[in-house]
Amino acid sequence: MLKDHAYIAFSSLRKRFLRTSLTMLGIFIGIASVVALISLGQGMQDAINAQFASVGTDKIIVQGATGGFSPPGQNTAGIVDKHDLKLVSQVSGVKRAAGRLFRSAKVDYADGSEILFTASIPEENEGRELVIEANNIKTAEGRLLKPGDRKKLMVGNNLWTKDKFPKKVVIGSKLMVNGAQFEVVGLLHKIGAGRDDAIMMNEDDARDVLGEPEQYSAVIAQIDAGEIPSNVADRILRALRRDRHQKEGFEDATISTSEELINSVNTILGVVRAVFIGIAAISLFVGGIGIMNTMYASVLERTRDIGIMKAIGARNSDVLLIFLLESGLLGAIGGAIGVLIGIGLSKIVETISREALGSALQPAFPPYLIVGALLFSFTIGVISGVLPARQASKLPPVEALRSD
Amino acid sequence: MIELFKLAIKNVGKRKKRSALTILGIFIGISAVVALISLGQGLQQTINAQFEKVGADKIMLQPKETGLGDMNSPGVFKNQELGAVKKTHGVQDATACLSGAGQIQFNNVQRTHYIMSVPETPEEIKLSNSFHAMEAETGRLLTHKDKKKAVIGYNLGNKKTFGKNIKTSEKIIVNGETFEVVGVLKRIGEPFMDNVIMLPESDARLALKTPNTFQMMLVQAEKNTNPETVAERIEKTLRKERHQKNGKEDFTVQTSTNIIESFNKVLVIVQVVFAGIAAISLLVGAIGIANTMFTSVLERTREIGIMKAIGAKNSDVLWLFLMESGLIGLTGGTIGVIIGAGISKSVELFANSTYGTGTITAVYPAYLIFGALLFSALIGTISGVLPARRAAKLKPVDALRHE
Repeated sequence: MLKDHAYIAFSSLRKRFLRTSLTMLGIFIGIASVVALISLGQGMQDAINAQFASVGTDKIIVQGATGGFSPPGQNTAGIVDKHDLKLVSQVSGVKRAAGRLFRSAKVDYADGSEILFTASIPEENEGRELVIEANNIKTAEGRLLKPGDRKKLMVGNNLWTKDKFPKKVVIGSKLMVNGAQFEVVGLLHKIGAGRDDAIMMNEDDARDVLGEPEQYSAVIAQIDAGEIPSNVADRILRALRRDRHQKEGFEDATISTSEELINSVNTILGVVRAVFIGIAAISLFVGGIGIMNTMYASVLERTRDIGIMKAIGARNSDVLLIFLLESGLLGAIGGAIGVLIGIGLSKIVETISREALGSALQPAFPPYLIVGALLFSFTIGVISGVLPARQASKLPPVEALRSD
Repeated sequence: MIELFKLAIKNVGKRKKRSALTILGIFIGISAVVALISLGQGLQQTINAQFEKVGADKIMLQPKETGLGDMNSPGVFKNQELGAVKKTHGVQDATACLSGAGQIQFNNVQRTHYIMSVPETPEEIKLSNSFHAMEAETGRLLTHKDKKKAVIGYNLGNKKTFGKNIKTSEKIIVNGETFEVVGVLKRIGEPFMDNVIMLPESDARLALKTPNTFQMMLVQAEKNTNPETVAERIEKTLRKERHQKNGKEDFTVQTSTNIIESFNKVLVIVQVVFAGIAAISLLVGAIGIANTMFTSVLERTREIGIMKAIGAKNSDVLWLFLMESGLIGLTGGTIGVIIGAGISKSVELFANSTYGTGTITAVYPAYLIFGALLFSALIGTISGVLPARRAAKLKPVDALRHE
């Protein structure tokens, strides 16, 4: 029974090929843009999450109180220093902790001069392992810094893969950092998050060239397995408060867990995505109106057909079903083409971004996106068809037969 | 021609439901585009007005940094460098300021805010105030005689940042020292300046523990000089001062024109992206028009045959259908412009009541309104070309036979 209905719906669509394809064009443009935007947004989120995954959710970052719009460890009101590092590492629930110093430094090499982000690597092994693990630091060439290395440094990926300096930076290159000569011992893999333009050196060297004897920009702590990050963060804050004789609410340090960081980044990304997709979805709505229009025209044209169908015994529900199937089919086919084109579009963006930026924006096509888009376009079709289909099913057979 | 036009209006009116749906498709797209552009333009105008207040004759010097906002980067300025800049040919006056985060206490609440210094001679204060486009909303701005006085950003006086608003003559504690608030700034619309604490330079140096460097230098070029040329001269002066070769500076020199241009570039890109995505729905709407017109041609095949039989030329039929589709586009466009203007106006009202007046103003330049109307009529006409040509080319005999 349903098969017959579907057959009638399908063949009537085929008969009006031009109109059907124009209507579907409307739907598939909308679906294609939504699919492309979602898959690119999802890809971006996956990339960011992967970056955070290497950090893990068991890290806590302690820094001076920030004013709200500056990156970690910069322009903070309060400070953290060597004394605080010791304090943090003794808080119960903290497995290990490390201090890091971040500053800008002037780097000269082969007639080129750049202001670069300079980061310190802890001198002692435990902290060093934590920093290397949390930041996913790996060498592509050469070696990682060792404890006791003096005037040696590792350079971020962009510094040796892109032409930052007039001459290529290689293992053994001599760089002047704030006037002191350093030798490159390691070329790093891509890390992301601004660290690819950084140079890294042992803490004592960094303190020397940056003129910063005691302070850290941030202290990073890893918690014991089984501890809840926010509980440990509270304990650290309490320890700092006691040590600094501060009242609750008057601390000059900010403590954030890596979980919070991930959540806040995802929230921002989610809002951006929602805005883009919302605007693109307007075109889907317009496409839906197109379907409704086509269906009304179709009802009008086939008034006589409907009369005959009813005269030979079709019930109202049969007519309703045929027209709903027709409009649903319009939506679904448009959606299927739209999904294909959307995938193609985001693949093109991927290729362009690889050519232009060197790093690809990898789009993701989770099953929910594809199945969801198909289902959604079918639903749009059916909904847009409801009014015209009802109009068709309610036609009195006698009058329908009389129409021409 | 007028007869044709009347006929076109009648035809669009006859098929009310279909015409209405087609028009709906167009006006949704047009209203989205109009709303987005009018808000984007409004944003751009606010920023441009801000820069106009600053004036094109200003030059700003900043240390080069890594984009991380490091205020201790090696390129910070020293007192004698300010002197050297002042003596540079074409410089009317110059001043410098320092800034950094501080702990502010008020009403038993502590927050971290940025502190910025105000210079301590009347001429330099004038330059600094005009560069930041600062005006007092209540109270007054700082003068060179002030000690232990502060002026606070708009949000601190209006947004209950500390649980309640800070008013003039109230006391705040900045990094442990007590200051009297003498003025609240007008809203500037930039988070940094709207949350700032302005202190006299010597007080700011103590609070920020920065004894002798500046994070920013501001220069006013002399009248009748080209700010670009003066900027180049300043760059040369500082390079000599620091013994740095061309291209190896650790500082940047930008004229206010440079700054606004880079701002505008970003804004234009954002507008293009948003309006571009919204325009997709216009494309879909246009397809809807084409579809309606094809249906219309099909339905009226017989009518077309009769028209031709009684002497209508191909061009008459073509024009009739083009006018019909253009009319659908134009009507959709008109409604769209009105609704789009309404949407952006409500966004403006909502944003201003939530975030304070002047957050965003929707503007409706004539080119936007006329452009949108013209564009929608054009879209309608173009979508009608194929169906209209099909109608015009129908053979009268075949058309008459059709039922």
